[in-house]
Amino acid sequence: MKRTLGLVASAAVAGALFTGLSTPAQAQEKLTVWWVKGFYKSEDDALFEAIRKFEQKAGVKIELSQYAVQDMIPKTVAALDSGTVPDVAYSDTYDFQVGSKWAYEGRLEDLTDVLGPMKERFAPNTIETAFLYNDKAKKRAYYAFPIKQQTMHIQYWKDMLQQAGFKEADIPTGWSDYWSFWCDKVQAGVRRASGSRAFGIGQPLGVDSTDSFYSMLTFMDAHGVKMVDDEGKLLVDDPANKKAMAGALKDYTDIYSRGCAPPSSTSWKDPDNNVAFHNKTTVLTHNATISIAAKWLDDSNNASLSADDRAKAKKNYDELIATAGFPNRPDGKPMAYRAAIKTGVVFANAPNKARAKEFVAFMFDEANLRPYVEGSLGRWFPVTKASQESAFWQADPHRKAVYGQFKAGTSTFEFTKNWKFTILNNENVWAKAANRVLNEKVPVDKAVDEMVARIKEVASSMN
Amino acid sequence: MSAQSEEKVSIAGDAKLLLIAIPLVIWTLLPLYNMLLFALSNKQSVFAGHLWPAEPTLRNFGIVLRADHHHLEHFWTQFGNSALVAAATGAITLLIATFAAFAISRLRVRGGRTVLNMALFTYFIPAAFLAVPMYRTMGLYGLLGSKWALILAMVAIASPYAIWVLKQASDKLPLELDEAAVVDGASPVQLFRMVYLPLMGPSLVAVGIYALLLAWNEYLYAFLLLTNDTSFTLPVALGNFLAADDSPWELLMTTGLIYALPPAAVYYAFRRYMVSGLTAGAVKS
Repeated sequence: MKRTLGLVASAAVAGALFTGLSTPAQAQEKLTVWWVKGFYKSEDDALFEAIRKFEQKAGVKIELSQYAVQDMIPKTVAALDSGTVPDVAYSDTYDFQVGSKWAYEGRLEDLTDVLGPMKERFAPNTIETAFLYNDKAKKRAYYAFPIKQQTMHIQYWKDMLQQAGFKEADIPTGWSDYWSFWCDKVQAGVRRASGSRAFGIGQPLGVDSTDSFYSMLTFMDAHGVKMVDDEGKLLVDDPANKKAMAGALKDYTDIYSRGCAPPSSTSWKDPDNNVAFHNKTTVLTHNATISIAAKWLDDSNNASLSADDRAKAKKNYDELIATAGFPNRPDGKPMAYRAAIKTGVVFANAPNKARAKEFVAFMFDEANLRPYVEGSLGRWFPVTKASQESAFWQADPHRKAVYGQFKAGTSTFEFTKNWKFTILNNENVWAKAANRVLNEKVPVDKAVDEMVARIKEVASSMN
Repeated sequence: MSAQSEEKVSIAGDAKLLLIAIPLVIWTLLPLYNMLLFALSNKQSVFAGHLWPAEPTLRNFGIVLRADHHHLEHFWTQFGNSALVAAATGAITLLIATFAAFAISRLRVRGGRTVLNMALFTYFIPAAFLAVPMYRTMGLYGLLGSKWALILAMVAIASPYAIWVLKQASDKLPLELDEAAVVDGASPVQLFRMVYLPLMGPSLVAVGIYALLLAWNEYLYAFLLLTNDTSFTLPVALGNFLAADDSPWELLMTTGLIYALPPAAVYYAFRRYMVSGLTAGAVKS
C-alpha cells in the first residue's frame, strides 16, 4: 500500500513539474535584443533608459545581451547558423562586414514600413545606405536601420606644430602642399627642436586594421576614384579610374617611403595610430572617429585619475589637440568625405518581428536616439537632421569640426551598392596594395593592376 | 680524465644549458613583465616605453578591485562566474573520467576501449570548429545563456583527455591488488572506493586541475554560450576593453594579472601532483 501511494505521489509531482516546465502559459512577452557594448557608460545608460521606457510603454520584457564589438559578428553568425537569432541586433561593424551580404541572402526583414514614413527625418546619404538588395526577393528595400555615422578626421598636436616653428595659419590647404608641410617642414622642425625622433604623419598601413582601408579609400576619394556605379557595377577598368587609383596609392605610400611615418606603421592595428599620437611620436594622424580627442575628454572627467592627470587631459582636449578635415583634393575642389553609416538589423526569421519593428521605431524617437549617440562624446555623428542640429555639436571646436565635415556633404561606401566590397574590405586589398609597394618594392602601377584584378575577381558578379 | 677536467666539462655543459635557458626564460616572461609594467603604470604613461614606470602605482589594482570602471562594473560577479564554471567543470570532468577510466581499465567492460578511442577521436576536430554545433545543441536544449551550457561544453572538451590520462595511470596499478580485494570479498564499488581512489590520488588531482584551468581560461565557448554581463566569465568581459581603439590598457592588463593569480596559486600548490599525475603511465615501468 505504502509503495502504491509513493508511486502515485511521485507521478503527481512529476506531472506537476512537467506541466510547470512545459507550459509557461501566462509568461510575459519577450523581445531579444543584441546590442554592441558601449565604450562609454553614458552610451549604455542611454540605451538602458530607452529600453526601460519601451518596456513600460509596450509591456514587453526586453532581454538585452551586450557584446564587445569584435564579438558581435561571430556571435550573430553562430546564431544565424544555428537558427536561434535575436529579434533585434545592432553592432558598429555590421555595415562594414555583413549587413549588405545578409540582405543579399534574404536573411533580413524588410523595415520599409518602419523607416519609410520617417524618411524625411534623415540627413542625405544616411538612410540610403540601408536600402539594400535582396536577391531572394529580387528587390531593394530598407533591410537595415541606420543609427549613427562616422567619417575620417585629421587630428594634430598644436603644441608640436608650434614647437616646429609654425602656426595653424601656416597649414596649407592644397593637397600636395599639405602633406609636404607635415612631412618635410613640421617633422624636421619638431626633430630639431625636441631632439626626439618624432614623425610628421601617423599613417595607418596595417593590413589588420580598418583605419588603413578607411584612410586609403579617403585618399582615393580625393583623387576622384569611383569604383562602382549606383547599381553596383564595377568601373575599375576605366583608364581614368585606374590612373586616379595609382595617384592615390602613390600619395599614400610616398608618405611612408619618404620616412614621414613610423616604420612600424605597416603593421599597425587600429589602436596603434592612437597610441603613437598620444605618445607624441606623431604630430598628425587621421582617424575614422574623433576617439583620440574624446579619450582626453573622458580622462578629464575620470574621477579615478589624479587631479593632475585630469587637468592635463582637459588641457589636451581644450587646447593642445586639433580636429580638422582633410585638405582640398588634388584638383583643388573641397574634400567630400565618405561616411560609414552604422546599421542594425531585424532578422527575417526573428521570433518576434512585430515587436522588433516597434522597438526600432521607438529607438528613432529623438528623445531616445540622441542621448545614445551623444553619449559617445562625439565619436559618432547623428543620422537624423534634428539631432545633427543639437547644441552638443557646437559645444567645442572638435565637435564643430566634425559637424562642419558632415555638413559639407558625404558619400557612401561601395559595399552599399555591391555587397562583395565587404569581402574586399575584410581582405583589406587596399592596405595589401600599399604593403606590396612598400615592403616588396612592387611598382605602384603593378600594385594597382593586382588590386584591380582582385576587385574584379571578387566583385564583378554579386552572386 | 682527472677530477679537475671532469669538473670543467660539467661547468661547460651547464653554461651551454644556461645559454639556451636564459633567452627562453626571458622570452617566456616578457609578456608577463609587460603586463606587470602596464599594471603598475598610470594611465598617461602606459606607452611611455620605459623599462620600469617612472612613478609605479597600485592605483589600477584599486580601480579593478573596487570595480570602479564602466567595463568592470560586474567584475566580482564575473570573477565568481569564472570560479563557478571552472570548479564545476573540474568536478564533473573528474567524476566522469574517474568512473570511465575505472570501468575501462579495471573492470575491463566490453567496448570500453572503443569508447575511449571514439572520445579521443573528437580531438581530431579543433574545438573552435565544434563551437557552432555546440551552440545549436545548447539552443535545442534551451540552455543558451545558462552557465550550465558552458560547464557542459567544457566537460565535453576536457573529458576525453582526462579519461585517457586516468586510464593510463590506472593501467599502471598492479592487477594483483584488485584480485586480492576480490578474494577478500570486495564488490566493484568497494574496489573503486577502497583500492582504486586512494592509489589514483596524484592523477586525480592533476586531471581535476587540468579541467579547472581549461575552463578558467576559456574564451570562445564562454562568449558564444553566455549572454549578458552578469552571466559572462571574466575573459569574455575583458573583451569589452578592446571595443574601441582607445582602450584603457592599464586596467585591462591589471585585470588580466589579477585573473592569472588563482590558477598560478593552484598550480604551485599542486605542482608535484601535476607532473607525476599527468605523466603517470606515460611510460611502462
